[in-house]
Amino acid sequence: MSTRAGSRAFLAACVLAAVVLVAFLAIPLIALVTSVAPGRLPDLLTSPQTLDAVRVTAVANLIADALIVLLGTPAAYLIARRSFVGRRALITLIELPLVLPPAVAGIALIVAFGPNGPLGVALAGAGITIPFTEVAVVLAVIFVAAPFYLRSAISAFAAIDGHCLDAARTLGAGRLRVFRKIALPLSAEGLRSGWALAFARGVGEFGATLVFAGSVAGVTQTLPLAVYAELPVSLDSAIAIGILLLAVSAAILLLSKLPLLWTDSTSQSATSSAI
Amino acid sequence: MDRLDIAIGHQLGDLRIDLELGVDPGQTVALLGPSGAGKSSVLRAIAGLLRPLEGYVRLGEHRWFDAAEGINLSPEERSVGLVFQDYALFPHMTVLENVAFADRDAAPEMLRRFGVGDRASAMPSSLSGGERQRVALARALARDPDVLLLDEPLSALDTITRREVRGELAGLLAEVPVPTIVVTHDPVDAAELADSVAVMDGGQVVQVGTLSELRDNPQHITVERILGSSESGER
Repeated sequence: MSTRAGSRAFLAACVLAAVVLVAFLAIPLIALVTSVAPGRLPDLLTSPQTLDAVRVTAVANLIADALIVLLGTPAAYLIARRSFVGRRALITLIELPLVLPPAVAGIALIVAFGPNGPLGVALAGAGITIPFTEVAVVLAVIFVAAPFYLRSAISAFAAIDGHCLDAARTLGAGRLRVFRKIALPLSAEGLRSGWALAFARGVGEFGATLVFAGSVAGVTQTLPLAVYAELPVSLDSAIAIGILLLAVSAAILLLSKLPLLWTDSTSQSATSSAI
Repeated sequence: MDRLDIAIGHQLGDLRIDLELGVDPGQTVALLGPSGAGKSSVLRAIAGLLRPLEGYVRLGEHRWFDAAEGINLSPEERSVGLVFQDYALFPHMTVLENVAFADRDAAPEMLRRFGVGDRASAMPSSLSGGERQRVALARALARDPDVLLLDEPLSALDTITRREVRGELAGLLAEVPVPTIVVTHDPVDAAELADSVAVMDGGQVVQVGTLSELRDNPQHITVERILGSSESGER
């Protein structure tokens, strides 16, 4: 085969691979969106059980995300900008929940917060029970979603030019002012995309919540759990909730990528004629 | 104005830094030496960005650092203006905001004084090399520091700009009334910017003097090597 024919065959193989994979990803989503008439969605999404699931999901994720950002931002700054023994091991530990099967995350949380767990015993002493409560939903979301935010935030803080932080100190700024005025604005994009990923992961959380918090309608049943609960009862309701979750995920993805979309449209470096 | 006195001992990987230096008010000393000699670390130690293992950093009677006494003022508690090699301008702030970060009231006047008043609303990325250096200097001096430190202030500039800015900087340093240390690897910069030159190699000061004294009577192979390489003329 000549070089030119080989090049064309390779390009054709790349195009074929792209078409097959994109079709495989897109067809189920299109099928989902088109399987229920749009006019029926308002009725399907306003059933009491669905509205409860929306409320549980929104409240749990708002609280979880606030805690993730509140605790995760300073923690990521410390890990990114300080060198200490065991730093790499700590980062690996933080990233572990990213690859952990969600059901295992749920079991781990039950073992830790259950009646015989190290945290459960302490909390039981204060009359607090966590598993199968609204608090368990929040903790499950934090456990699975926080690593997404931490990972992105650590990368963003680590990418800041250290001279800028040092210069700010020599210009009379204490650590807090340097953090607020220099580190946060310079890492804002990374923090925003990390938050979007964490939020999307949290809203879609299923396995850990089911194991650790159960699926009690109006208490611990989130939207993904409601999809599963509705499947044997009303396929259309399950599909409607699925469409709602898809819309939320797409909106989050779009919002997090808005600055990048603008960059790509004005940058010459994003494309290449090498292929 | 007070005299700056430093004596520091520090270990940076394989490099052992041992250095004693005194700089009078209004005097500019150049730390001249090859890359990896420990020059920038000395500036960082004075500014409080690096804590040496031993020694002291004193400004007159004020002890900024004293290993024996356990004294170590934070960078913001010391009165230091430090100009970084890459200028370290805050990329998300305008020129005016950069200088106002140090002193809000003094910022407009400092920009005018350094000839960049008309660039107040510009972002650092849109400045030329020479303008960036002027903004960095304006920012470093806005707080009216008691010590001025410049880390390779001309190395980020192209050859032509470098020659112009070198002259401007020399004029400015001649007027600065505080102890000033300029780190450079270039004898031409050292000759034009500083009153006295301390040649550093391997973490030690190997010889101190005016450039002509060093040239006439080099007492270390590094001094010979550095000054020998500059005899081809000004770049």
